[in-house]
Amino acid sequence: MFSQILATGSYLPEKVVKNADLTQFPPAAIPLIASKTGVYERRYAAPDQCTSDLAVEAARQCLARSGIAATDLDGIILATSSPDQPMPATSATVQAKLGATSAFAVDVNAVCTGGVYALRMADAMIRAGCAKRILVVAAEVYSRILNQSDFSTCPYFGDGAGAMLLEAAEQPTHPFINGGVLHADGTGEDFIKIPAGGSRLPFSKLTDNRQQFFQMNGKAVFEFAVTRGAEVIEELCRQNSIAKERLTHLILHQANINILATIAQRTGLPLERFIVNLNHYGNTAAASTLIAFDEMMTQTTNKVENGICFIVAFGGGLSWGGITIEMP
Amino acid sequence: MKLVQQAIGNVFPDCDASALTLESKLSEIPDWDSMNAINLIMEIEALSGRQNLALQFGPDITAGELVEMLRAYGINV
Repeated sequence: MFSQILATGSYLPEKVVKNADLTQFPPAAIPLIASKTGVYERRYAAPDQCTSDLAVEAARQCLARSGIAATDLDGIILATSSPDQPMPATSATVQAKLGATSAFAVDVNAVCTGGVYALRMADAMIRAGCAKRILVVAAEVYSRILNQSDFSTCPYFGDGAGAMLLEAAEQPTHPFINGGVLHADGTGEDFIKIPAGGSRLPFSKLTDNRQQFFQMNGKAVFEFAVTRGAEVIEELCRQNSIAKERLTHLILHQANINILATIAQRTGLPLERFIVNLNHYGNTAAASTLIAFDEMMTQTTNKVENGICFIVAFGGGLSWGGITIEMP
Repeated sequence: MKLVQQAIGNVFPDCDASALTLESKLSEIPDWDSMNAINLIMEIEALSGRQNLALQFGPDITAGELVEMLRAYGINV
């Protein structure tokens, strides 16, 4: 049994925030953003939009393309690290907004690796016979959790959502998932975090206002990402006995252009095979790989077929992993 | 160099800013990178009340060199 990909979708909010629009930072520092991150602009959700709204837009586009009704979904797995609220799960809100009355709903938080975690879990449930159709959505509104005065984090990130509808198939006629790997290392928990808002440090016990915002150790995260990202590509090749030369598309988490370039160099793969959209959308955390996959599938002038695609992500936890997608 | 130590302590909470000397290299501060260097400039501007400080940080800049740059702006460090 395989999980075939019936359709994809994505949603980027309308508001474009260019680097020059970040006027809270010194004008002389603005050129550093593009050179250090590769980001030229990003999208911010409207004041009345929250994560579930972005998720629903991507999900509706995906369902419309598939021809499958929301009522025919068995499950919704939503990857996010910027939920509407700590509880209930944002996936439950999405389920209600879609009218997916037969679907279970669960959130997955593996920060930027969330999309890959959600896909791997959905695939496992389908292959185990627990569900026939699972909608995987990844949605983030990082603009609400960033310290807008922190130059080391704010310029990197943007808001967005991606979706993928998986369906059980004995003999896939669509692109399908054919394996994957997931990893974690909690000893790196301090490298990417929002310290406050949970049981360890409730908001009422803040000792520093910055504890409520996203924080990242840039140097440590860069080293982690380039090391583990390259490792996952090699691991997926071994898992499926695929020679790297057969890889047609690589969709890596859109963290930073220098991370992608370093991984390309370390794996000996041409950067041209790596899908890049972070220049327009920034780092959309868990949503980045699903947005990039949707754009690859729906916006290329040449139909993507007879190819092998790896989706690879790395993020807070620390967590990292990858998915193999074969395109018949 | 109280202002410099205060700014560094505010931007880099894992750094014992009081232990910094004029010979201390900024690149050895935990979490130091080119993006956080901008945060330090912004913090110095906030603490000194001065704006648009055109500070250039070389890879081996020391706290003492930063102090001298700020004194050139007439900032009481």
